[in-house]
Amino acid sequence: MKRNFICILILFAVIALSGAFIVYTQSKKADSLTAYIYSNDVLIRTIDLTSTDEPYSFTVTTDNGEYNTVFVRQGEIAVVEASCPDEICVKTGFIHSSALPIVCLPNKLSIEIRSEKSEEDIDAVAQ
Amino acid sequence: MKIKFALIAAMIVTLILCSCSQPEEYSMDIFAMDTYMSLMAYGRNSEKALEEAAEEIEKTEELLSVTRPDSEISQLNENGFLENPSDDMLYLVKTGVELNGEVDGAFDITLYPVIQAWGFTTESKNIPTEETLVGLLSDTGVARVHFENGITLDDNTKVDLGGIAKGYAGKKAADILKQYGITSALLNMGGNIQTIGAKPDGSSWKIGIKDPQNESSLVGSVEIIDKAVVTSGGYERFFIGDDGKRYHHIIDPKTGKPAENGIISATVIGDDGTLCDALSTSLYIMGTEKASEYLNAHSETNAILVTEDRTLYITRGIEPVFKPLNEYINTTINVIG
Amino acid sequence: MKKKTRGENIKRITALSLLTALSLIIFVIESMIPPISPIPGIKLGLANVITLFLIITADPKSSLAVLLARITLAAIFAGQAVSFFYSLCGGLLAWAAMCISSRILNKKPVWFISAAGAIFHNIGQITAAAVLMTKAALVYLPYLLISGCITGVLTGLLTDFTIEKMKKSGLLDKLSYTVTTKRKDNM
Repeated sequence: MKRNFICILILFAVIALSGAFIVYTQSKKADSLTAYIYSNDVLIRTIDLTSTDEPYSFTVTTDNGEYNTVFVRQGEIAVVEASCPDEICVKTGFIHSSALPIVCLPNKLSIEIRSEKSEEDIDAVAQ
Repeated sequence: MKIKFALIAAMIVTLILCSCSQPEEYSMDIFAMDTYMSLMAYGRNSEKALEEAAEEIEKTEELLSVTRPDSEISQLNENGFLENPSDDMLYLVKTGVELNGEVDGAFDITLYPVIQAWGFTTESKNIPTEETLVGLLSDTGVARVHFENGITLDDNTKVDLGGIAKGYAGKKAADILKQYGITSALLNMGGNIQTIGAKPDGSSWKIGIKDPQNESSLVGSVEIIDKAVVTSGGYERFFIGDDGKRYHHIIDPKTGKPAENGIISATVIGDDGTLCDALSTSLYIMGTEKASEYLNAHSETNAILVTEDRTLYITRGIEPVFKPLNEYINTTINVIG
Repeated sequence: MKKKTRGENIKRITALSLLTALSLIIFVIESMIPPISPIPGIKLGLANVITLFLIITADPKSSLAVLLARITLAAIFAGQAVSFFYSLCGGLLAWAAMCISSRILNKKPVWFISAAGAIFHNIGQITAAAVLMTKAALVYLPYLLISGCITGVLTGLLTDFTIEKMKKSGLLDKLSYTVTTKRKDNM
C-alpha cells in the first residue's frame, strides 16, 4: 500500500508541475502593461510600462495653464505634482494594474493601465 | 481494489472535464480570388458549414473574376450589356455605383481599363503614358453604367468589382455560417477579416493591423466581435517601374495613377464586409484631409488611418479597443469622427 | 537457457502474432474515435495495453517485437511516414520506461508502470516533433504530460483487470503457455 501511495504521489507531482508550468507561461503572456493617458477625454499618450527601463517624467499642461507632472518607471506610473487644489491624483500614488486608475477631476486628466496580452495572441492580421 | 476504482473514477472525471471544455473546431484553407484564405469555425456543424461557405466563395469568384472569360462580369465587359444578371451581380454593380456617390468619386468600379493599362490584372506591369491615361479616363465614371434591361455599359466602359468582391464573399460566407447556427468563426480572406460572434471562450477577436512600412510588424491591434476588418495599402500589390519609382495598385480615379495622398494604410471596421472593403480603398485614395473630413461627417464608419509621417488617425468608436504596438506604441493618436 | 523445442517456438510466434493483430485492431479502432482535444497527441493510447500486457506476463523482448510490428503495420495502413516516426520515438521510449519501471517495482502497480509509459511516450513524440517540425511543439509538452498521467493510469488499470480476469479464468495460462515456459527458461 505504501508503494501505491508513493506512485500516486509521483503522478500528482508530474500533473502539478505541468499544470503550474502552464499557468506560469500563460500568466507571463498577459504581463504587458500599457498606460493610457487622457486629457479632456482625449487620448494624448500611451506608454508601454513593461519596456520602460529608465524612469522619466513629463508634464501634461491643459489649455488653461493647469498642469500635472507624470512620473513613469518600469511597471508603474504616478502623478507626482499637480496644480489642482485637492491633489487627489498625487495622493493616489503609483498604480501598477488596471484595478485603479489615476483621475484628476479638476484638470480633467486620467491615467489608466490596461494589461494586455502580447502580440502572439493576435487571431488574424488585416492587410 | 478500492484504490483502483477510486483512481478510475478520478481519471474518468478529469478526462470528461477536459473534453467538455474544448469546443468543436474546424478550419480550412482555400485558394480563391487570387489569394490565400483561411477559414475557421467553432461549434457543431462547423465542418459542413465551412465547406458550404467555401463553395459560396468559389461561386462568387466565378461570377466576378475578370480573368475568367465565362464569368458574368467578363460577359458584361465583352458585350457591353448583361440581360439577365444574377441577384449577386446586380446587387454588387448597384452597390458599386451607389458607393461612388457616397465617397465623392474615390471608389469607381469603371476604372477597369485604367487598371488594365497599368497591367495590374496581368503579369506585365508597365507605366502608361499621360495621353493613354487621359484617353482611358474619359470613358470612366459610374454615369456610364445603366440599369435598363439588366445592366448596360456605354461604349469602351468596363467594370471591375475587385474592390468589393472579397468583402462581399466574406459577408456571404458569414451568412451561410450563421444559417448553420455557427456563433463563432474567423474568416481570413487574404487579409480581409470577417468575424462571426466572439471567440469560443467569449472574448473578443484580436485583429492585428499590418505595418505598411514593415512587412513583419504590426501598427497595432483591435478587439472586435462580429465585425469585418478590411485594410487597404499600397504595399499589398505593386511594381517598381523602369524609372525606379514604386507604383502600387490602388488607382486614384481622378488621376488614373496610384493614389499618393498621404495615407499609406486605411483600415475600416464595420458590420458589412462589402462596405468595409470599398470604404478602405476610398479612404486610402481620398488622402488624409478628405478622409478625416469624411469620417467626421460619417460617425457610423470606424476606421484607422496611417499616414506617410507615421501618424495615426482613429475614429472615436474604435479607439477604446485599439492598442498600438511595436514602433507605434508612443505615437500620438488623433481621435476623429 | 534451455533450448526451446520447435513446438514451443511455433506456439510463441502464434501467440505474439495474435497479440500483434489485436493491438493493430485496437489501434485502428481508436484512430476512428474523434480526438478528445484540439491538442495533437492527446489520446487514450489503448494499443499500449498489449505492450504492457506482454511486459508484465511475458518478457520485454516479446513486447518489443509486437510493438515494432504494430507500429510498422499501422504506418503502412495509415500511409504516413511522419506519423510512423513519431509513433516509433514515442513507442520505443514508452517501452523502455515501462521495462525499467516494471523491473524496479517488480511489476506492481501496473497502472503506475503504464502511466510512466504514457508519459514517456508523449515525451518521445514531442521530442520527435520538435526535431522534425518546429520547436514550438514543446509548448504542448505540459498538456501532454498531464494527459499522459490520466490516460496512462486508465489503460494501466485496464491491463491490470485484463490480466486478473485472464488469470482467474485460466485463459492466461493457455495463451501464455509458451510465454510462461519461456519465462521459466529465463529463470
